[in-house]
Parts: sequence; structure tokens; C-alpha cells
Amino acid sequence: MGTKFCPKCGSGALVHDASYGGIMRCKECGYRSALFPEKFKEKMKKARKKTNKKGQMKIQEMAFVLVAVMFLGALLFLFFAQFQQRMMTEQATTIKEERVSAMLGAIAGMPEFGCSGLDVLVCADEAKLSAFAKLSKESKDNYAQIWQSASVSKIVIQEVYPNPAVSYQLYSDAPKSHKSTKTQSTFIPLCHSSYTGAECSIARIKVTVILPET
Amino acid sequence: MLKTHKKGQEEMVGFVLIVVIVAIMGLVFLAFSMRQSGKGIGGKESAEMDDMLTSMVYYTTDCNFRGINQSINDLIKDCASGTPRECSTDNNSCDFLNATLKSMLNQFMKTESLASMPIHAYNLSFSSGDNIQDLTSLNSEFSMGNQTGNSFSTSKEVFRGSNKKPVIVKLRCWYSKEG
Repeated sequence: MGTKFCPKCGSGALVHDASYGGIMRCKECGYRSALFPEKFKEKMKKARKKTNKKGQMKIQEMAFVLVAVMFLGALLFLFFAQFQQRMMTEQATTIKEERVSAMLGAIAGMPEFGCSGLDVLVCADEAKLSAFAKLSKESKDNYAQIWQSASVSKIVIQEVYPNPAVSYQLYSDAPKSHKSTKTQSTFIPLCHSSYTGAECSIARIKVTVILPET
Repeated sequence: MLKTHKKGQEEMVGFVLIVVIVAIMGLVFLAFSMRQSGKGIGGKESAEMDDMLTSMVYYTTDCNFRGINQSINDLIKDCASGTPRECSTDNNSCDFLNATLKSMLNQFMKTESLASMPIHAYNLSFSSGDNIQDLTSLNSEFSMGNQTGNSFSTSKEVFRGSNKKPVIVKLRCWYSKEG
């Protein structure tokens, strides 16, 4: 509903004139008329404008909150994804290390390197290691496939007592450069056969593996 | 005016709540990652030490009985018998055993590490079940270095025949964490 006003003085104080049916009279100036203009449209326009502005503000606020929540969610997701990736890499490294630990004994116990006739589970035969070191490159390449499939980059058996200078390199992919590698080692008896039986010294078998890249 | 203030306060409380929740989540993740990185010495190192003792026991010394060089295993058996035999070089099996073990541990102290952690002390001891009297000829203990900090131990039985209890060789290593 609009508000009627007097076109003569502009006052809104209008009353029904009892002496004339349906006629209204301005209290201020006494102007009489059946029709008075209304302020209806202007007010509505203003009110609508105000409401629209408020609504827009609310939509903007809501949009900002949504963007902020999404940004926060994205940050959290990124952090979580990075954390998960690191955990997975660590797990992969641990699995690889465990495999290498198991591999240490297996390599020393291979028929090509291991000694027989001794009641010890794992030991390396010096004569076999010397013979292996003298093998041609082609023959050694046959073994390279085995080492590469297990991500091994270097295998060395080195005497630690009594003569640390004695060392046998069974494999090395030295020309290749790897970002991260880890060397694991363990002790094994290093034996050689003599006419009086097997004689053993103490050696370390060292296996270097390529770790998964982070 | 009062209503507007109240609304503003509510929004601030909500924001603070979100910040607190995010901070707690961050702390939980941090705690998880810290726990993962704090790994110590474990089964792998224990196995390495076990291999060390096995290799030591199978080491062949220069002590020679009837033309055959004896291993540490043989010398322990012979020395623990109470009547140690003479090696070819005027020393008996016990003397040879003591000298070899001392020299061996001395070299390990200088050069060896356990899972990339340097070893700063060793202790090698012998026992025979509950009957220690049996081992009077055997020097029952070898110690080297400052025996403090974290340690790992392993043992191995040396069998002496059906009527005697085996000799238990126990090796203990003290390691430093800074490798």
C-alpha cells in the first residue's frame, strides 16, 4: 500500500471529508479531492533496492565462505596426500630393506659363491669368489639381470678379520648414478679349502640397493 | 545494535572453532609423522650380531692339532674340557683362544659397526648351563671399551658331546646412535 499525499502542500495528513462522500481533504491546507497521488512506487523501489543489496551481500558472504572452506579443504587434502605419499615411500623402503636383509644370506649361499661341506648355514668360498671375479664380462652380464631385477647396484664381500684388505666385488653398476641408495651388510664366514679341511676368516657381505625415489 | 554485536560475536566464535579444529588436525598429523621417524635398533641388527658371533665361532685360528688348524669352536671345546691341548707353537688351546678373541674384538672395535652405528664396547662371556665349574680353564669373560648406553646381545651354544652341557658363548655390544 502506498502513502497518499497532498499535491498542493505535500502533506500526508489527509482525512475523509464527511460532507462529501468519497472526497478526501488535506488537514494542512484544506485541499479537497477524490484522487490524491501516492508515494507508493518510490518507496517500493527504494525498499526493493535495499533488499536486493542485502541479498547480494549475503550471497557474496556465502560465496566467500564457500571459497574459504574449499581452499581449506584443498590444503588439508594436499597435506594428507603428501603425508600418505611419504608413508607409502617409507613402507616401500622398509620392504626393500627387509628383502635385502633376506637377500644377504641368499647371495652368500648361492652355489656360485657358497661353500659346501661345512656345518654352517651360510658361508662364502674364497676360491669360488676368485673364480667369479675372473669371469668374462658376458658371463657376468648373465647375473646382472638377477641383480637388476632386485634393484641391487653393488655386491661386495670384504674380509674384516684378520686381513681387511681382501675384497671381492661381485657386481657393480657404477656407471649409473642413483639418487638414493642404501647399503646393508652382515657377517659371514669366508672359507677356503685346504688339505687339512676348511679354514675360515670373518667377512662382511655388503649389498647396495637403489631405494624408491621420494 | 545489540543484535548485530551478538551476530558478530557468534561468527567470531565459529571462526575460532574452525581454527582450533584445523590446528588439532595438524598436531595429530605431526605426531603421527614424528612417531614414524623415531625408529630404533631392531630385528635386522640383532640378526647381524647373530651372524657376527657365528662367523667368530667358525674362524680358523693358527692353533694346530695333528696338522689341522682349529676353529674358535674347537678351541672352546678343548679349553672347556679342563685339559687343554698344546698347539704346535708351545701355547695351549686356552692361550690361543684368549689371544685370538682379544685380537678379534680389538679389530672389531676399530673398524666394525652394527647397522651403521659404531660399537664402542664389547663383552664376550662363556657359561655352561648351571655348571660354571666346568669352565675353569676357560677365561670366562672378555671386555673391551666403555660399557654404557644401548646394547644388544646374542648367544650361541658350542656342543661338547652327549654327556656334557654345551658352552654358551654370549656376545654383547654397546652401540652409539650417532652413526
